[in-house]
Order: sequence, then structure tokens, then C-alpha cells
Amino acid sequence: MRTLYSVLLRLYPKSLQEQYAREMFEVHCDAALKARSAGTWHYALFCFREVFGLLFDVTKTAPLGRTSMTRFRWIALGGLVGLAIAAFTVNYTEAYRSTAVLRIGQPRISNRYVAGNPIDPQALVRRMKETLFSRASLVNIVQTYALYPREIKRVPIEDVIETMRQDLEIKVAGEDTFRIGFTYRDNILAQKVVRELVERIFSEYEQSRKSEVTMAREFLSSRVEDTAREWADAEAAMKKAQAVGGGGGRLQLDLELARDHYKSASDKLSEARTAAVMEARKLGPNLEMLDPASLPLSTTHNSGIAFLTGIGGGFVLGFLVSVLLSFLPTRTEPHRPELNT
Amino acid sequence: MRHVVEPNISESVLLILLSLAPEPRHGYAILKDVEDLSQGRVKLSTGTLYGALRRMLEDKWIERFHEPDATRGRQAYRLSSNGHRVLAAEVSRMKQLTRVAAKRLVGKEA
Repeated sequence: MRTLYSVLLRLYPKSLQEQYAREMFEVHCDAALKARSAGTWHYALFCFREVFGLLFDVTKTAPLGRTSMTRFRWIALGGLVGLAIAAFTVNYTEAYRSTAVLRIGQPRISNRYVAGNPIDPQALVRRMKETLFSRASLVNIVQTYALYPREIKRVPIEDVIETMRQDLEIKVAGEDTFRIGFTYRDNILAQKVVRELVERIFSEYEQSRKSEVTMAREFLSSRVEDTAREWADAEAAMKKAQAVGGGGGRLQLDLELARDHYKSASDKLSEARTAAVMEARKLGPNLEMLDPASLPLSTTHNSGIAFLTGIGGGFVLGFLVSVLLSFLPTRTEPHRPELNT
Repeated sequence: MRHVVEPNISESVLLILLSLAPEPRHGYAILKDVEDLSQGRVKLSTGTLYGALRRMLEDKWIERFHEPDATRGRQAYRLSSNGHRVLAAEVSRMKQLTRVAAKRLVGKEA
């Protein structure tokens, strides 16, 4: 604080510095000693009072010398630079985060009556990420909502997509819930993108469930046909053997096995058909919207701090330049003789 | 916020004049005395104090002199005759104002 104060004293015009600077510095040191002994809070207040009291007094010093004016210009310029930095920082770092929460609902018909088709949230999130975070999907969203206009002008689309991937989030939030989030500098656009993503997730989920049950049904149908054929072949072989007086042992075992395979495949096909009916009637484990896309009103970080830091940094910069200038030799004004009137 | 008691005399200036009225003082002694006089309400910064002292010196309300017996060879300040006059006038004005205010308040209470 002593160093800062002695540097600040250099802001006074030379004549005042010569007359008062030493004395002021001594008084400041005495007062600082007392303030420090009163505690940290008192000392902080004292420092604040001293710095601003001195700066305020310097501004009232009249007439300002050429050197002081130059210093003030630098400080003012530093302040303006700081303001610009602050505005830039706030504008470029301001970000809003919109989120939505989805839940995987329970099937409408209990597992006691119909075998369920449970969904693993982790697997679902992984699948959704693969689909939604694909280049084609993200390019489509960027173009639809005209996102990242500044970045698009500067960097290739691949980099913009990568930035968007970092700004997006889909993750498991609970036992059967998952969260979708998007961070962007425009809160309304952030909300719109999350809404769009949620719609895509719903549509993707529905489609994948349908295709899953359809594929399962088709596969199981062909499996039933195969096992039915195998069973028929085993029966024919058995009849043939019985006609010549055989038919025991190994053939009987093959027949029973073929019958079991057929029964098992038939049961599974039946379950797959039921699941397909449930999907068609939306009775399965559907997705439900728990929290719709939020409209964020506050930024994800404190832009006020960024703003103050920018301004403060600018003033400090200007002040340092002014102090450096004060060490340079100043040009002396030629003496002007007073005119007798 | 400073309480202005006359167009040209702020509360800080009045307190500094009052501090110098009984005896000459150096800068830090004035700071402490002003705080005591205002019961801790007015805490001057060094910049504010010396700004006020400078203006009072220009107006010749106070004089600056070298403290003869000080160990650090400090400068001290004392009230000039002009400063005494200004302070007396200010105090008289405040007394009159206080009398009027008291009367008004008593009248209102009655």
C-alpha cells in the first residue's frame, strides 16, 4: 500500500509534490499503522479511502500541470481501453444454458401380464448421442437456427460443429431420467435448440423402438419357421424309424429338442408381437417430458465480474503507462515575462 | 456525503478549523482530532485533508510552519487571524441557526 500511495503521489503537479508529498506520505504511514492495528476490515476501508481520496484530490488540483494532464489522458485512455475490453469480454463470454429433463416411463401394462421390454438409460443416452451429435444432425441445427454466425465466418464448419458438441450435453440424471442441455450466448436460441433436440429425441426413440420390435418380430418369425421345419424333419425321421421297428434313443431326443426349440421360438415371437402391439398403441415404456426446455434468464457465469475486471485492468494499464511516463524527462516551458498592464 | 454548512465551508473544513483553534497541529494530529471531534463520523483521507489544507492556505485561513521540536522535522498548521475570524463567524452563524431551530422545534412540540 505504501508503494502504491507513493506512486499515486506522483500524479500531483511537480510543485505540489515538492511541497506536500513527503508530508502526506508520512501522515499516510502513521494512519496506516493505526488502521492496521484496528483489524483487516478497517485497514481495507482505510486503503480504499486513501486511494480514492487522493485520486479525487488530484482531480481537483488546479491548475493541472502539463505532466499531470498527460498522465490523466493516459489513465482516461486506459479506462476507455478497459471499457472496450470489458464490453468485448462480456459480449463474447456471456452464455445461457437451457435444459430439459426426460424420463423413461414405465409400461402401461404390468410386467405380470406382459413381458416388458426394459430400457437401459445409459444405452439410450449413448445411442441418442450417436444420432444427435452426428455431423449431419448438428449442421442441420446450426443452419436451421443460424447458430454461431461469428464462428462460421472465421473457422471451418467442422470446428463450429466441434464447438457445438462441447456446448451440448445429454447425460443420465437419475435412475430413469436424463438431461439435455445447450449453452449459447442467446437464451432464446438456446431454448429453441433444446426444444428441437427433445423433439428429435422423441422421434428417434419412437422410430428406434418400432424398428427394434419389427426386426425382433421378423427374426423370430423366421426362427419359428426354421424350428418348425426342424421339428417336422425330426418327426418324419421318427416315423420312418418306427415303421422299421426302431425310433428310440437318439431320434426321440432329437424330436424333443426340436419341439422345445419350436416352443421357445414361438413364445418369443408371441412376446415380440405383443410388444409390437404395445408400441403401436403407445403402451410400452415411452419417453415422458419431466421438465420442458427452460428459458434461462441469467448467464452461466457472472458477467459483472468480467466487466469490472476489464475496466479495472484498463485503468491499471493506463495508470502504469502514466507512471512510466512520469519517469521520462519532461520538457520545460520557457519563462513568459508578465505583461504590465 | 459531506454536510455543507456554508457555501464555502464544508463540514470537513469546519472540523479542521476547529481542530486548529486551540493549538497548532501537524497533519496526522489533525486527522485524529477531526475523527474525535465528529465522534468517528468523519474520517478524512490524507488526500482530502491536504486538499483542504492547501485551499485554506491559499485563502490564508491557516499558516504552515516548521515544527521546531519535532523529531521528524514535520510541518505544522495553525489558525491565522483571518482563520479565527472565519471560524468565529461560522460558529456564530451556526449558533443563531441552532437557536432558531430550537425555537421552531419547541413551538411545534407545544
